[in-house]
Amino acid sequence: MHLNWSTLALQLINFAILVWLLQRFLYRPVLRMVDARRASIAQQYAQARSTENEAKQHLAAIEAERATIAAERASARQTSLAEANAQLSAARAQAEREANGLLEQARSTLAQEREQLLGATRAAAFELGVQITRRLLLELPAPLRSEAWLNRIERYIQGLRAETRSELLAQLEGDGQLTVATALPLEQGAAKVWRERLQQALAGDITITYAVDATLIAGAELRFPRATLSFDLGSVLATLRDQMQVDAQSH
Amino acid sequence: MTHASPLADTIALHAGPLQITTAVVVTWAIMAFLALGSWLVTRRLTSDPSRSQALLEVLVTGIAGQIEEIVRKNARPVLPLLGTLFLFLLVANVSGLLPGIQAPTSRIETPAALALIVFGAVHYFGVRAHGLLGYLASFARPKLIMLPLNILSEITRTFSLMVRLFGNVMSGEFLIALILALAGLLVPIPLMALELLIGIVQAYIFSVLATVFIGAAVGTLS
Repeated sequence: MHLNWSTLALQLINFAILVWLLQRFLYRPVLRMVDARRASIAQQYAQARSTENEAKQHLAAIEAERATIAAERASARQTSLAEANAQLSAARAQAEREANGLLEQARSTLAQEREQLLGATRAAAFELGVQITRRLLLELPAPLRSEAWLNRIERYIQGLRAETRSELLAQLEGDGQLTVATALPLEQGAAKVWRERLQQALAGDITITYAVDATLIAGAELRFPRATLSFDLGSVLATLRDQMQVDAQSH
Repeated sequence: MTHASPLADTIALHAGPLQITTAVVVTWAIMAFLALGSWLVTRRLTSDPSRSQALLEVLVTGIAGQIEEIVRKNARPVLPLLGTLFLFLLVANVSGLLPGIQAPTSRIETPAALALIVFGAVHYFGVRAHGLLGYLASFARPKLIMLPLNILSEITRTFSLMVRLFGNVMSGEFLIALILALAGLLVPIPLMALELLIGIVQAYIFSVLATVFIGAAVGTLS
């Protein structure tokens, strides 16, 4: 085996030329195209990243706006709820006040009606009692009725102080006369007895007239010109009725 | 593949005192094929690549990627040399399988020329990376006593690069020619497939070793 130096030299030159040819027709254009494509891709990537950042910023702005709207909505809702609750409470309080007023008014009206009814019932009962009393008294014999009241009048007059009795008698001087009012008309004999016993009790010659007053029920009234002495059951019952009404109103 | 001896050199033509061997002629043909093919594909490059353009881009960027993985630096300065080395060796090794074609790498001159180019490129890039003195000083590392051994290593590894390529390609062609002469027309086909694989592998090994040598020279590899 021997080495062909001319072939060696030619192959050295050939390879150097091939390197130049491929650099000229292969590597340089291909790498230029690849670099251009990579630059384009990088540019597109940068543009896409920029667009992505812009989109993110828009998204963040939208999110912030949405959060603001949500906060405002929540605030408005809270405010509306508070106002509604306040109005509800006020309306409820107003309704309660009105209801309580109506209740109190109803209670008052009911109490008044009850009182009126009670008063009317009491008055009716009293009137019934008066009627019963009057009927019962009518069942008694007239002298017995008259005697009892006359005895009571005599005891009263005898119990008066002398000055009081003198004052009463003074009213009967001159034209003054004593009127004896009874619930039922006195018979002639009874009228005579009344006159004699009154003159005796008063110790004076006095003029006596008689009158009938159905409201007296029983007993009599001694009507002086400026004074009246009541010894009748009507005034007692009237006093009793007034006392009952006062007691009922106080309760 | 009709030579009686693979070591015998065939003179194709004479240019004055210069003898032009068949290896040189085949090399010219390979050069024309590669250059013309590249020109045809790259004359109308577009941003929307055709299949051939895409294949070429994958090839170039693939080679550049391989070089960057080994050198761990920008592959652009060494891409023309190492890429051309790989493409030329690939086509040259495989060309021997064509009937009547003698692979240039099956003759000692072509591997020797390529090995010399690699040898020169290693030192060129080494000096460019470290400066002349810095690069020369690297031969004395780690100890000064290593200087002769490092220089001897530079020579022997270049020699082994040459002999490995030459031996593999030449032996393959010799074996195929021998079997074809003894057994018949279709018997060497499996061996031809093996020779195809060996040719590709040898092109890859030669290129990778050249890349490693250059990487070591520029200091990115230990």
